[in-house]
Amino acid sequence: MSSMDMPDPHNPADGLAAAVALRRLADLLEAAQVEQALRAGWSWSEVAEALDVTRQAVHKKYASRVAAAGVETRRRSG
Amino acid sequence: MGKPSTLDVREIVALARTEARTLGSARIEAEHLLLALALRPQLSAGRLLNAEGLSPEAIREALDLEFAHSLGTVGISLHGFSLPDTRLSFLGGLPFAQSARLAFQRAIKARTGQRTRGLDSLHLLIGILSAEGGTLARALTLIEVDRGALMAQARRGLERAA
Repeated sequence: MSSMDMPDPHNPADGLAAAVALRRLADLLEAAQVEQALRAGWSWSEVAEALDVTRQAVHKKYASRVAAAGVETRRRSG
Repeated sequence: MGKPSTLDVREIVALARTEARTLGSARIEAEHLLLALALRPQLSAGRLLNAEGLSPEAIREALDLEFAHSLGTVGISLHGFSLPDTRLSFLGGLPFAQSARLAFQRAIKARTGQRTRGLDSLHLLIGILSAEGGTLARALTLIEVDRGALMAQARRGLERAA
């Protein structure tokens, strides 16, 4: 284990925990921003372009969650 | 503590799933199982956790602390930055993370040699607390919870009930 008072990126336990936390931060940030973009009227294609993934990929990942959260999405365009 | 009771695993997993979703997790992790136990003071494990100051709120705070602490390792501070709220929680039956799978395996191991047939909530608590590393162990260390002492208490609880 590490000394918890002074996190140290050279300590494997701290470094690996940082990687886990960063992944979690990225996931939370992405979901929140996708929701915000769609609420602001962005299309799935525009969100996909911003994330540099295919429209299918972003739709597959978020469509059901977006629908369950009651977000109105724009019809396919562009 | 009464007789060893058979844990309603399905109920605990359902509670853990709700916790995982609320926290934006795509998987059920060991920490979500611990939260589920803490949410059930009618179970021996929930009673023990709450008596030791581990209410659901205290556990969530410890997890937040660990998150901020681990991000701090690589120079990222969430000070002045609050994550935008999202209602996009994961749907359906979330898969178990390895930490949750191990917690159940260790819970079953903790039961061997005892004359109970079902799993007691204290077995699951021991299983969850057995992990020496990972997010939950780190979170508990940060709030100065002695996992070993807590596990010993759980074992004594099981002995009393036997």
